[in-house]
Amino acid sequence: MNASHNFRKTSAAAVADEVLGAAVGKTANILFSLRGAAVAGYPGFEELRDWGRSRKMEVSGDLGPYARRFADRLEAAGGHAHFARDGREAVEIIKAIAGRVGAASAVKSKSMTAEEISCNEGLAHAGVTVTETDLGEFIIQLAGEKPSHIVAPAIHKDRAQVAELFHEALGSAPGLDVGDLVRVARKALREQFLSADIGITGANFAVAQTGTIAIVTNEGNGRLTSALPSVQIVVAGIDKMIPELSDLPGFLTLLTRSATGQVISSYVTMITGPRRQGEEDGPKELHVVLLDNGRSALASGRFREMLHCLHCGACLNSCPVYRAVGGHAYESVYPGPMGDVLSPLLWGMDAYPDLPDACTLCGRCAEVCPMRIPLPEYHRKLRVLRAGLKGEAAGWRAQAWASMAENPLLYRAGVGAVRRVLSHVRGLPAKMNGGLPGAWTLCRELPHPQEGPDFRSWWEKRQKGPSGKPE
Amino acid sequence: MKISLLLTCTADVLYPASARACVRVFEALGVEVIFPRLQTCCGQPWLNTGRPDGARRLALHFLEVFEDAENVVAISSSCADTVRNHYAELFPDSVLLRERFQEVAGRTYEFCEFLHRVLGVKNMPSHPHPVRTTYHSSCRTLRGIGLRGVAEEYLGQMLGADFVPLAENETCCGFGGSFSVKLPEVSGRLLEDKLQNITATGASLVASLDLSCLTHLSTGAERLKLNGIRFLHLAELMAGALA
Amino acid sequence: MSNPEILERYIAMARAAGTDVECVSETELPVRLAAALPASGGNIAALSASGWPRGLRERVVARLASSGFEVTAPRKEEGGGYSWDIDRLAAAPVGIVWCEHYLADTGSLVLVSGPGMGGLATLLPEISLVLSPAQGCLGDLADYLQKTGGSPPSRITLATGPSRTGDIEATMTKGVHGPGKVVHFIIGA
Repeated sequence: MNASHNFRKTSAAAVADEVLGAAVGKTANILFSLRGAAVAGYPGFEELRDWGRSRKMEVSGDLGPYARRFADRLEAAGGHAHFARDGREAVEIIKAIAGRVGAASAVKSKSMTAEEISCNEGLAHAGVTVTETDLGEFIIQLAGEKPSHIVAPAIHKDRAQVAELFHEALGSAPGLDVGDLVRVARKALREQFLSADIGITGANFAVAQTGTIAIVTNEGNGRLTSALPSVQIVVAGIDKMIPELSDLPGFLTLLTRSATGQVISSYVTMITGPRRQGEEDGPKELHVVLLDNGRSALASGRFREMLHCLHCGACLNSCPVYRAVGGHAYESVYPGPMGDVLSPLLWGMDAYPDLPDACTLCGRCAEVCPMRIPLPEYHRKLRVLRAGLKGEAAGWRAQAWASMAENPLLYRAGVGAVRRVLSHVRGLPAKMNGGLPGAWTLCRELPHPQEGPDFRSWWEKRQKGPSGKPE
Repeated sequence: MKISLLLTCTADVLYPASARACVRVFEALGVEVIFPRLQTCCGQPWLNTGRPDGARRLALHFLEVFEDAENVVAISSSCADTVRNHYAELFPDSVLLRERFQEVAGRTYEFCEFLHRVLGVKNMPSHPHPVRTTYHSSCRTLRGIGLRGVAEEYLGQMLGADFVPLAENETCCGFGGSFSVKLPEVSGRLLEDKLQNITATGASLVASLDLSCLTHLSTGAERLKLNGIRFLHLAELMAGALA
Repeated sequence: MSNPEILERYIAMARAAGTDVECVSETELPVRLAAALPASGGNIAALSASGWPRGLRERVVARLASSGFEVTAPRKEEGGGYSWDIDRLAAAPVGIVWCEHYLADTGSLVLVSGPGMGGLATLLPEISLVLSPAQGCLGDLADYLQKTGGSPPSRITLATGPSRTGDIEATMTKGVHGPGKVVHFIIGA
């Protein structure tokens, strides 16, 4: 990223887009209610959240050893593990595999981790055409856009826009309904599945005990991507580790109920090594690229629990800011509350200086996060971190205000002064730019004190009254 | 029973009538109110803008003023939330201070919560002059204090059919402290959505337990010229009903 | 839970997920199976080669033949490995497999890999017909994983209802990449 991200600018543009707001709001609302119903229908869900968090605590406290154990087990099952320190290394590894097998085309099942490392762009440079096969990803790939939600990547588009896009890019009839659009995509993508040299997937979970990768999809593209091409490359962050196979059922429940409100997704595929002797499907070569890209550093710091994130998207669906602006305004692979925290941590505060502010601290995300990640608290901590980086934390302004506020006499004088100003000033010019009053009055008037005396004078007068309790 | 009133700086500046109403409600319920006059602001603005030094200074001042109180009752949820859920963690290096803050946090309540959980008030009398009223359940009341449905129950008792629940009542009004001025366009959108839901109830009164939200909503309503709607603290309605 | 209880739960959960569950006796299976075959879209049925109880596969093949369907299946090659005729498989409107276990808690079929197990027959065709024994119902995934004893097959797929998507305006639509219709015949229930 060259210039730093300006969320005020991108978010202001996004809230002005009515189609975007309606589309995102509708889908996020549906997913949010589905999650609510699914959680209500599972009596032990709160205990399961506690259990999940404690299991992930074990992993995040020992990330390297878990990843190495996973790699050993994967190799024992006939797969290949590759450790990548950062996105660049990961892409080089993937390009080298593609080059060695002489691949010209790849099908890809949705992976945010692959997005994180710009896998498609890297493979394009190496002459490999990558086709996204998740319907949402396919839509945005045709549109030349980026995903705007980690679970529902085309959440910002409505049906009419998708129909128009398919009409232009695939020659389908104009104005198709959702069912027809799905048929068009099925036909177009089936050909790609049958001819691709490589299948690329992410991993929802990586089981250290057995070297197993678990992939969760509804469409079946994850299954096809890991069944048809002769080479499969899995891109997985090292945070995807879970200790044992017996942990999988609990984590799957947490994931699918939180993400889409489903008891389980249509397909959960557990892959342990490549195709075995005599089997007629599955990859002949299975590679798992284990990506660090800042995760080890997170493990030892104040934001460790970000490594527990299941990428379920529940925090996005619950977030008033995300619902109002959609994903693109964040200009990151990871939007919404989890992205506000992850983006500055993975790519630097310089790249995303505003995202710690993209939160009203309403707390709804923490309420729905299956792993109980303290997201509002992390926003606060990032603000502290940023103030420290800018030298503001101990700046004279903050200190001066604090000095005044902790001194009862100065405080009372200040309160009186503000009351007098607000009692008399009415109607600042609506577009006073620059300072705080300008930002406040963009959509609000200045507040006016309630009528009558200030509370302290009233109280004092009352205490001194003849009967002790006047009025 | 005694309570020490945590006035909050918002009430100090903007909501003296709400604060007076809280006092009247407590007195009507036989609770003795103490007002520690050396109190100032709880420090939330520093806490939420990445200035923990400032927040710590005000937390320590709070401790000095309120540590001996039998109960502390804040008239705005977000301030109660700050004292209860955030003070202790500002002092990671001092076990002693953390313990003292946790101890006072255990005796700190939001106004309506105190009525419900400590005083055990089950019923509010009918209000003599009910008007169509809705309720904004603020984020901090819901998720900081953990109070759901209690204010609505009291409102139903006071107002009967004149209490109308608000659609999307768990969604933020877009204030968020510094958020409101850092991202005013988004804040304004959320505010507008909230006001739209309020208008749809046909209410001419909006009650809440958070003074920051009330400020945000009333100033937004004034901008949109929704002049027929008044915004007030729940205590003002209770004081009317208990008078 | 006893077997009838978990079976009942499976049926409820699978139906909620969109699977058509049919409880059949071994004698009525051929007729019921024939009734589920597609009326259009071609006359090739993709059939798994392995895992079947003795004699059942032959009866299924016979019934398919009398309904006018040709069978394509993983063929055993010289080295002992299996392979599909991928063009014939891709042209089949219906796939039929045997599935030993299924899970009550989530309404899921447990499809496991293995030579000739024919997993693709449950994935590429528009219609997926799956046959299982009544006693194959397990409580949940944990019960199944316990059976694998920590050394799982190369692929285990939990398939629950038809392939679906909500990617356009969160409108649930069936049959994206996999089958739009799944019929599960439970034999002897």
